[in-house]
Amino acid sequence: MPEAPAYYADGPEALVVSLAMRGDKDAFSELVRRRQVSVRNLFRRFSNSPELADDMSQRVFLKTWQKIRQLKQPDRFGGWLKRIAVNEWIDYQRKHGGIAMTELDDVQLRAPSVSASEAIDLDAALAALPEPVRLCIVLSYHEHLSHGEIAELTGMRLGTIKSHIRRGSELLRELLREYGGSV
Amino acid sequence: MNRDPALEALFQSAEEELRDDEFTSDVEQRIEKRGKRVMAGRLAAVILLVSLEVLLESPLQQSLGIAAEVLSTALIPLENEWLSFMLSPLNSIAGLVGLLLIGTQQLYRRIR
Repeated sequence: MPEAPAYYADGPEALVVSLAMRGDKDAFSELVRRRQVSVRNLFRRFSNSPELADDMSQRVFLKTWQKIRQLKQPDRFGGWLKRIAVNEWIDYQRKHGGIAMTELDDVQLRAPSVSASEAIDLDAALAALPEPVRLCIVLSYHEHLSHGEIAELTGMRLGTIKSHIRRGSELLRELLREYGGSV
Repeated sequence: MNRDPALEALFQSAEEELRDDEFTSDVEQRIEKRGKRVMAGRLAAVILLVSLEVLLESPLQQSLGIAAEVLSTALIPLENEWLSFMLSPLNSIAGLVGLLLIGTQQLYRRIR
Protein backbone atom coordinates (compact mmCIF):
# COMPACT_ATOMS: atom_id res chain seq x y z
CA MET A 1 0.00 0.00 0.00
CA PRO A 2 1.48 3.43 -0.86
CA GLU A 3 2.40 6.01 1.77
CA ALA A 4 -0.59 8.10 2.89
CA PRO A 5 -0.70 11.62 1.43
CA ALA A 6 1.16 14.02 3.70
CA TYR A 7 -1.86 16.30 4.20
CA TYR A 8 -3.76 13.48 5.93
CA ALA A 9 -1.39 13.81 8.86
CA ASP A 10 -2.57 17.39 9.48
CA GLY A 11 -6.28 16.79 8.87
CA PRO A 12 -8.80 16.79 11.72
CA GLU A 13 -9.56 13.24 12.83
CA ALA A 14 -13.29 13.39 12.02
CA LEU A 15 -12.41 14.25 8.41
CA VAL A 16 -9.86 11.44 8.13
CA VAL A 17 -12.43 9.04 9.65
CA SER A 18 -15.04 10.18 7.11
CA LEU A 19 -12.61 9.46 4.28
CA ALA A 20 -11.82 6.02 5.73
CA MET A 21 -15.56 5.32 5.96
CA ARG A 22 -15.73 5.90 2.20
CA GLY A 23 -13.10 3.20 1.69
CA ASP A 24 -9.97 5.38 1.57
CA LYS A 25 -7.22 3.01 2.75
CA ASP A 26 -4.65 5.79 3.05
CA ALA A 27 -6.94 7.65 5.44
CA PHE A 28 -7.35 4.49 7.48
CA SER A 29 -3.57 4.02 7.63
CA GLU A 30 -3.34 7.54 9.00
CA LEU A 31 -5.85 6.60 11.72
CA VAL A 32 -3.77 3.52 12.58
CA ARG A 33 -0.67 5.72 12.84
CA ARG A 34 -2.47 8.14 15.17
CA ARG A 35 -4.10 5.54 17.42
CA GLN A 36 -1.57 2.72 17.47
CA VAL A 37 0.24 3.94 20.61
CA SER A 38 -2.87 4.05 22.79
CA VAL A 39 -4.26 0.72 21.54
CA ARG A 40 -0.92 -1.09 21.89
CA ASN A 41 -0.37 0.34 25.38
CA LEU A 42 -3.87 -0.75 26.41
CA PHE A 43 -3.15 -4.33 25.32
CA ARG A 44 0.25 -4.27 27.02
CA ARG A 45 -1.49 -3.45 30.30
CA PHE A 46 -4.05 -6.20 29.64
CA SER A 47 -1.65 -8.92 28.54
CA ASN A 48 1.85 -8.25 29.94
CA SER A 49 3.18 -9.43 26.57
CA PRO A 50 4.34 -6.99 23.88
CA GLU A 51 3.98 -9.65 21.17
CA LEU A 52 0.43 -10.57 22.11
CA ALA A 53 -0.39 -6.88 22.59
CA ASP A 54 0.75 -6.05 19.05
CA ASP A 55 -1.07 -9.02 17.55
CA MET A 56 -4.29 -8.09 19.36
CA SER A 57 -3.88 -4.45 18.30
CA GLN A 58 -3.53 -5.46 14.66
CA ARG A 59 -6.63 -7.63 14.92
CA VAL A 60 -8.50 -4.66 16.38
CA PHE A 61 -7.49 -2.39 13.51
CA LEU A 62 -8.44 -5.06 10.97
CA LYS A 63 -11.87 -5.39 12.60
CA THR A 64 -12.17 -1.61 12.72
CA TRP A 65 -11.52 -1.42 8.96
CA GLN A 66 -14.15 -4.08 8.31
CA LYS A 67 -16.75 -2.28 10.43
CA ILE A 68 -15.90 1.37 9.85
CA ARG A 69 -18.89 1.94 7.56
CA GLN A 70 -21.15 1.11 10.51
CA LEU A 71 -19.79 4.06 12.53
CA LYS A 72 -22.53 6.67 12.76
CA GLN A 73 -20.59 9.68 14.03
CA PRO A 74 -17.01 10.13 12.78
CA ASP A 75 -16.14 12.33 15.78
CA ARG A 76 -16.79 9.37 18.09
CA PHE A 77 -14.13 7.22 16.46
CA GLY A 78 -11.88 7.11 19.55
CA GLY A 79 -14.54 5.68 21.88
CA TRP A 80 -15.76 3.31 19.22
CA LEU A 81 -12.24 1.98 18.67
CA LYS A 82 -11.80 1.53 22.42
CA ARG A 83 -15.02 -0.47 22.57
CA ILE A 84 -13.82 -2.77 19.78
CA ALA A 85 -10.48 -3.22 21.58
CA VAL A 86 -12.08 -4.11 24.93
CA ASN A 87 -14.57 -6.50 23.29
CA GLU A 88 -11.72 -8.15 21.40
CA TRP A 89 -9.83 -8.67 24.65
CA ILE A 90 -12.89 -10.07 26.44
CA ASP A 91 -13.52 -12.44 23.51
CA TYR A 92 -9.88 -13.50 23.55
CA GLN A 93 -10.05 -14.20 27.28
CA ARG A 94 -13.27 -16.17 26.90
CA LYS A 95 -11.63 -18.35 24.24
CA HIS A 96 -8.21 -18.73 25.82
CA GLY A 97 -8.44 -17.97 29.49
CA GLY A 98 -12.07 -18.46 30.41
CA ILE A 99 -12.91 -14.98 31.67
CA ALA A 100 -15.68 -15.02 34.24
CA MET A 101 -17.23 -11.80 35.49
CA THR A 102 -17.27 -12.99 39.07
CA GLU A 103 -17.13 -11.02 42.28
CA LEU A 104 -13.62 -10.47 43.59
CA ASP A 105 -14.32 -12.56 46.67
CA ASP A 106 -14.85 -15.56 44.45
CA VAL A 107 -11.56 -15.30 42.61
CA GLN A 108 -8.14 -16.15 43.89
CA LEU A 109 -5.05 -14.02 43.50
CA ARG A 110 -2.48 -15.77 41.30
CA ALA A 111 1.11 -15.92 42.49
CA PRO A 112 3.25 -13.64 40.30
CA SER A 113 5.72 -15.45 38.08
CA VAL A 114 8.73 -13.42 39.26
CA SER A 115 10.97 -14.15 42.20
CA ALA A 116 10.69 -12.04 45.34
CA SER A 117 14.07 -10.44 44.80
CA GLU A 118 13.15 -9.26 41.32
CA ALA A 119 11.69 -5.85 40.89
CA ILE A 120 8.18 -6.24 39.56
CA ASP A 121 6.89 -3.74 37.05
CA LEU A 122 3.34 -2.58 36.62
CA ASP A 123 2.46 -5.02 33.83
CA ALA A 124 3.76 -8.00 35.79
CA ALA A 125 1.81 -6.87 38.86
CA LEU A 126 -1.32 -6.46 36.72
CA ALA A 127 -0.79 -9.96 35.33
CA ALA A 128 -1.01 -11.32 38.86
CA LEU A 129 -4.53 -9.94 39.25
CA PRO A 130 -7.56 -12.07 38.31
CA GLU A 131 -8.70 -11.24 34.79
CA PRO A 132 -11.95 -9.35 35.57
CA VAL A 133 -10.17 -7.31 38.23
CA ARG A 134 -7.33 -6.41 35.85
CA LEU A 135 -9.85 -5.45 33.20
CA CYS A 136 -11.58 -3.00 35.57
CA ILE A 137 -8.31 -1.59 36.93
CA VAL A 138 -6.86 -0.98 33.44
CA LEU A 139 -10.04 0.62 32.16
CA SER A 140 -10.19 2.86 35.20
CA TYR A 141 -6.52 3.87 35.59
CA HIS A 142 -5.27 3.56 32.02
CA GLU A 143 -8.34 4.65 30.09
CA HIS A 144 -9.78 6.89 32.83
CA LEU A 145 -13.26 5.47 32.34
CA SER A 146 -15.97 5.96 34.94
CA HIS A 147 -17.65 3.01 36.66
CA GLY A 148 -20.70 3.52 34.47
CA GLU A 149 -18.64 3.48 31.29
CA ILE A 150 -16.85 0.30 32.40
CA ALA A 151 -20.21 -1.30 33.14
CA GLU A 152 -21.46 -0.36 29.69
CA LEU A 153 -18.32 -1.72 28.01
CA THR A 154 -17.95 -4.98 29.92
CA GLY A 155 -21.51 -5.81 30.90
CA MET A 156 -20.47 -6.17 34.56
CA ARG A 157 -22.64 -4.85 37.36
CA LEU A 158 -21.71 -1.50 38.94
CA GLY A 159 -21.26 -3.04 42.39
CA THR A 160 -18.91 -5.67 40.99
CA ILE A 161 -16.86 -3.02 39.21
CA LYS A 162 -16.53 -0.87 42.33
CA SER A 163 -15.49 -3.92 44.33
CA HIS A 164 -12.98 -5.00 41.64
CA ILE A 165 -11.38 -1.56 41.50
CA ARG A 166 -11.21 -1.09 45.27
CA ARG A 167 -9.77 -4.53 46.02
CA GLY A 168 -7.67 -4.55 42.85
CA SER A 169 -6.00 -1.26 43.83
CA GLU A 170 -5.20 -2.69 47.26
CA LEU A 171 -3.76 -5.86 45.75
CA LEU A 172 -1.75 -3.90 43.23
CA ARG A 173 -0.26 -1.69 45.95
CA GLU A 174 0.61 -4.77 48.02
CA LEU A 175 2.23 -6.50 45.07
CA LEU A 176 4.24 -3.49 44.03
CA ARG A 177 5.37 -2.81 47.61
CA GLU A 178 6.21 -6.45 48.23
CA TYR A 179 8.37 -6.66 45.15
CA GLY A 180 10.11 -3.36 45.64
CA GLY A 181 7.90 -1.14 43.55
CA SER A 182 7.44 2.56 44.08
CA VAL A 183 3.83 2.48 45.36
CA MET B 1 -14.55 8.48 41.43
CA ASN B 2 -11.59 8.16 43.81
CA ARG B 3 -8.50 6.86 42.11
CA ASP B 4 -5.28 6.23 44.00
CA PRO B 5 -2.96 9.11 42.89
CA ALA B 6 0.17 6.95 43.26
CA LEU B 7 -1.26 4.22 41.05
CA GLU B 8 -2.49 6.82 38.62
CA ALA B 9 1.04 8.24 38.37
CA LEU B 10 2.42 4.74 37.89
CA PHE B 11 0.03 4.06 35.01
CA GLN B 12 0.97 7.40 33.53
CA SER B 13 4.68 6.61 33.65
CA ALA B 14 4.12 3.11 32.22
CA GLU B 15 2.66 4.63 29.06
CA GLU B 16 5.30 4.00 26.41
CA GLU B 17 5.80 6.16 23.34
CA LEU B 18 5.82 3.13 21.04
CA ARG B 19 7.41 3.72 17.63
CA ASP B 20 5.34 2.88 14.62
CA ASP B 21 8.13 1.01 12.77
CA GLU B 22 6.40 -1.86 11.03
CA PHE B 23 3.10 -1.71 12.90
CA THR B 24 1.04 0.30 10.42
CA SER B 25 2.43 -1.57 7.40
CA ASP B 26 1.64 -4.89 9.16
CA VAL B 27 -1.96 -3.74 9.62
CA GLU B 28 -2.08 -2.72 5.95
CA GLN B 29 -0.79 -6.14 4.91
CA ARG B 30 -3.43 -7.88 7.02
CA ILE B 31 -6.12 -5.74 5.40
CA GLU B 32 -4.77 -6.58 1.91
CA LYS B 33 -4.68 -10.31 2.71
CA ARG B 34 -8.18 -10.24 4.12
CA GLY B 35 -9.42 -8.35 1.03
CA LYS B 36 -7.87 -10.96 -1.27
CA ARG B 37 -9.45 -13.80 0.74
CA VAL B 38 -12.88 -12.16 0.51
CA MET B 39 -12.49 -11.66 -3.25
CA ALA B 40 -11.41 -15.28 -3.70
CA GLY B 41 -14.43 -16.43 -1.68
CA ARG B 42 -16.83 -14.34 -3.78
CA LEU B 43 -15.25 -15.60 -7.00
CA ALA B 44 -15.61 -19.22 -5.82
CA ALA B 45 -19.28 -18.59 -4.95
CA VAL B 46 -19.97 -17.10 -8.42
CA ILE B 47 -18.22 -20.06 -10.14
CA LEU B 48 -20.25 -22.49 -8.03
CA LEU B 49 -23.55 -20.76 -8.83
CA VAL B 50 -22.80 -20.62 -12.56
CA SER B 51 -21.75 -24.29 -12.57
CA LEU B 52 -24.93 -25.30 -10.75
CA GLU B 53 -27.00 -23.25 -13.15
CA VAL B 54 -25.37 -24.94 -16.16
CA LEU B 55 -25.69 -28.42 -14.63
CA LEU B 56 -29.24 -28.06 -13.37
CA GLU B 57 -30.74 -25.90 -16.10
CA SER B 58 -32.32 -28.75 -18.05
CA PRO B 59 -33.68 -30.85 -15.12
CA LEU B 60 -34.95 -27.66 -13.47
CA GLN B 61 -36.87 -26.58 -16.55
CA GLN B 62 -38.33 -30.08 -16.92
CA SER B 63 -39.46 -30.12 -13.30
CA LEU B 64 -41.08 -26.69 -13.63
CA GLY B 65 -42.90 -27.83 -16.79
CA ILE B 66 -44.27 -30.94 -15.08
CA ALA B 67 -45.31 -28.93 -12.00
CA ALA B 68 -47.15 -26.37 -14.18
CA GLU B 69 -48.93 -29.15 -16.05
CA VAL B 70 -50.02 -30.96 -12.87
CA LEU B 71 -51.15 -27.80 -11.10
CA SER B 72 -53.29 -26.66 -14.02
CA THR B 73 -55.12 -29.99 -14.27
CA ALA B 74 -58.89 -29.42 -13.91
CA LEU B 75 -60.61 -31.08 -10.96
CA ILE B 76 -63.93 -31.33 -12.81
CA PRO B 77 -63.59 -31.54 -16.60
CA LEU B 78 -65.79 -28.93 -18.33
CA GLU B 79 -66.83 -29.02 -21.98
CA ASN B 80 -67.11 -25.25 -22.45
CA GLU B 81 -63.63 -23.80 -23.06
CA TRP B 82 -64.49 -20.30 -21.81
CA LEU B 83 -66.18 -21.57 -18.66
CA SER B 84 -63.23 -23.89 -18.04
CA PHE B 85 -60.82 -20.95 -18.45
CA MET B 86 -62.85 -18.65 -16.17
CA LEU B 87 -63.11 -21.24 -13.41
CA SER B 88 -59.56 -22.54 -13.72
CA PRO B 89 -58.27 -20.60 -10.62
CA LEU B 90 -60.69 -22.65 -8.51
CA ASN B 91 -61.26 -25.72 -10.66
CA SER B 92 -57.65 -26.90 -10.66
CA ILE B 93 -55.11 -28.63 -8.41
CA ALA B 94 -53.36 -25.26 -7.95
CA GLY B 95 -56.67 -23.77 -6.73
CA LEU B 96 -57.14 -26.66 -4.34
CA VAL B 97 -53.60 -26.28 -3.03
CA GLY B 98 -54.15 -22.54 -2.61
CA LEU B 99 -57.41 -23.07 -0.69
CA LEU B 100 -55.75 -25.66 1.52
CA LEU B 101 -52.91 -23.24 2.30
CA ILE B 102 -55.35 -20.42 3.16
CA GLY B 103 -57.38 -22.81 5.36
CA THR B 104 -54.26 -24.04 7.17
CA GLN B 105 -53.15 -20.46 7.77
CA GLN B 106 -56.56 -19.50 9.20
CA LEU B 107 -56.56 -22.58 11.43
CA TYR B 108 -53.04 -21.84 12.62
CA ARG B 109 -54.06 -18.25 13.50
CA ARG B 110 -57.07 -19.46 15.50
CA ILE B 111 -55.04 -22.04 17.40
CA ARG B 112 -52.31 -19.50 18.15
